Amino acid sequence: MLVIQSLTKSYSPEKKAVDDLSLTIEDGDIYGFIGHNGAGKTTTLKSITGIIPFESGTVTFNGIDLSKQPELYKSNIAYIPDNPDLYENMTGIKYINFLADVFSVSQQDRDSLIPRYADAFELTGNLGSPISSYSHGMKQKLALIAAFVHKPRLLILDEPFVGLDPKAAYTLKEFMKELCAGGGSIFFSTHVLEVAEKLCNKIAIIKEGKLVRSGLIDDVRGDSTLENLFLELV
Amino acid sequence: MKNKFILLLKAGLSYTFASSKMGFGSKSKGKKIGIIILFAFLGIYLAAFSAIITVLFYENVSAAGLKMLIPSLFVSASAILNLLSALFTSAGFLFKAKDLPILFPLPVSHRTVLAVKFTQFYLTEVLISLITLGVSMVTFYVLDGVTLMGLITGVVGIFIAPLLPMSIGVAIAFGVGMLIRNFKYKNQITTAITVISSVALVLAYYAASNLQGDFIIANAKALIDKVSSIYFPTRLFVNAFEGDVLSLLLFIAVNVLPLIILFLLVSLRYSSLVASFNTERTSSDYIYTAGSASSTFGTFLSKEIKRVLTSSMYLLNSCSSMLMLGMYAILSFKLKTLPDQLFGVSPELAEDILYLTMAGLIALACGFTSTSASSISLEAKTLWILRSIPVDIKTIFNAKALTNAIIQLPVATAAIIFICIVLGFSIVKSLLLLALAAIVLLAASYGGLVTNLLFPKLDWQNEMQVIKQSAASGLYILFSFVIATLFIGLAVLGMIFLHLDSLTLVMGVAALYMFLFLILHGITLGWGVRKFQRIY
Repeated sequence: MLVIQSLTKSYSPEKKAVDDLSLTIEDGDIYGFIGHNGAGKTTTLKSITGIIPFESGTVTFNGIDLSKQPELYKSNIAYIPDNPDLYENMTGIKYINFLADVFSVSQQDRDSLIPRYADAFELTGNLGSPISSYSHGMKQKLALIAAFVHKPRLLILDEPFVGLDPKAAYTLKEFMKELCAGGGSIFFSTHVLEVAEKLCNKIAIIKEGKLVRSGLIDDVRGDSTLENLFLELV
Repeated sequence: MKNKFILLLKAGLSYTFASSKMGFGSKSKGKKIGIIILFAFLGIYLAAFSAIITVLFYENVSAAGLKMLIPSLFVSASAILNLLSALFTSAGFLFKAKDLPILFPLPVSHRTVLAVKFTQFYLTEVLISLITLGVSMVTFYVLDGVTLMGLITGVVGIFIAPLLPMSIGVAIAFGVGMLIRNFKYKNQITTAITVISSVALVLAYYAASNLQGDFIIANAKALIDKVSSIYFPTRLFVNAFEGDVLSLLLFIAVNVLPLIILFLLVSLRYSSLVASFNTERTSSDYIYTAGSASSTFGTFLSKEIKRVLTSSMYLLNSCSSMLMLGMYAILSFKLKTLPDQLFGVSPELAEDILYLTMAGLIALACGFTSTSASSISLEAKTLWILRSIPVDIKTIFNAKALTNAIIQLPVATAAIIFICIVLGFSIVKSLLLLALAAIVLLAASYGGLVTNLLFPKLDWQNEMQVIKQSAASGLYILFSFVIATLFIGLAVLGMIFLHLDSLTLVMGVAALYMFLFLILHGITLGWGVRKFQRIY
């Protein structure tokens, strides 16, 4: 379970990018995070993955505090940014093995999981090519494969469906559901409200750094559609 | 077009020269002034080097009435340096700049974009010309007086002479790049070509250093002819210097015209050429085979070593100290006679001086460059990976530091063993020199990390801006130079005033470097870790 309490992050003294944000993501949740451009979604995701420091608040996963035990915390999560810049001089398979080494994935797991995910995302044949030759979508698929291979308990994704072809997007959704069915959880930002509506069981809406609504998707939207609610709130 | 050209050029130059982009993004005025002083010092240091060589040459050849050998050699030397620079950097400027995908869709002609890129490239080349040809010309005028035609030729030469080497460099770099773009190991091939060319340059230096003053004077005419036959604009430059206006016009024409033709040719299909140049070998026939798992440290070390070995720019600029050591190894044949030349001192003292000299040169060379001084900046947009994975920052730092030592130590060891055999040092003295090299390399590795953490530069367009032009790389060179001068200076003082033998003194220098290594190691793994967490 990921618990974010009173998270605050500023880039300048005048304006808070994330302001006193609190959120709980329970095991099995597929939690959508929506808001307009510049609302603070990416800053929140980067803060809770340890990429950028934050001024105040706590972030814990299953009781492990990000600030106090960053390595242990990060060993449970995987993060994929909206525009994954990877090590261009590596081949795809080298990159997957690099992350597998860092996350201490056993050889047995690699041998079963790498072909499984690479085949599903139709990238196996390209794994021997340098990442510098990959398209944006291929890089995104590679980042996803490398993330799934180390079996994260929590998957944090920033706009995961942008750049993916329809088949890959479908495959990703299936793997997301599978991960959550196995007790894992997913927290992802998106602008595609239809995806959020169909895929998520919970949703959070952020506006100017503040959380304006969060909870079970049916409770949040009530009788309205998610699109109408979003337009009304932000 | 003019306004757009200026607009794009200003934006492009801001990445290279603007203070906030050089790696010291803080608003601290003190830091900015410090960096300006640093680069001024480096400029003065290089200029002084050119001036001293000019003075030495002038003293040798002026008595024989062969002063024109000086402009001849310096315009050739400047052209060679411009050519080498163009070979290694032109592709980064013209065909692989990271901002090209942003610039091409703008409502600006591709010819304007190319003009901007060529101008940026030219400004870098002119800096080389200013430091070599410019300084030597000024020194020459001071020593020999100024004629109007000499002055005009000198000024024109500084700004025009880089153009032909630029054209040749661009053509070769583009041709080679296109030829090997689909090779599986194209980065390694480029790196190998770079290293071989650099070794060839060292050997050429050795051949040139064999020329005695008497030989130069006796064969000055033949030398000028030889140099002119290899690089014919030299003859035009010398003739212009002596007052021939037609030669000056021809010198301008042979430099300018090829560049104009090249510019026009490239501008015809600039975006297509960029796309072709960046096309990479791809295969879709990979079949998964089980690899072997590695430790976290092992996998990071492998990543860092591969990063250096797959970039000729990174390897050449961060390991140029090994070329210095190679040069020392070749020159050790000459230093062998040093004890004989030291009249009035005992043979023991002469050997002590030789040993201390070599120790000083080795310490200077091993510390001179470090791959780690730009290794954090080179992470740039991939920094998110390091920040989001469960790895101790100390592991990352140690892998980056050790990479510098691992890459440079084998070359250093071979060169030092060669030097010790040639100079006949005892086993104990030889082992001490090897230990000194290892310790200096370790100190250099962590020193590089500290300077890079002080001035990280993450918003670069091509890696040259990090490896060659960043505040961190400049500061590192200054730091290593000051430290080597200080430690070797102390050893020399110990020899003069305390009459200590060279073995003791070199042990002292090694101890000082060990102490420095421990301090830098502590700073990196303490302050450095905290600083790294704030960089993004």
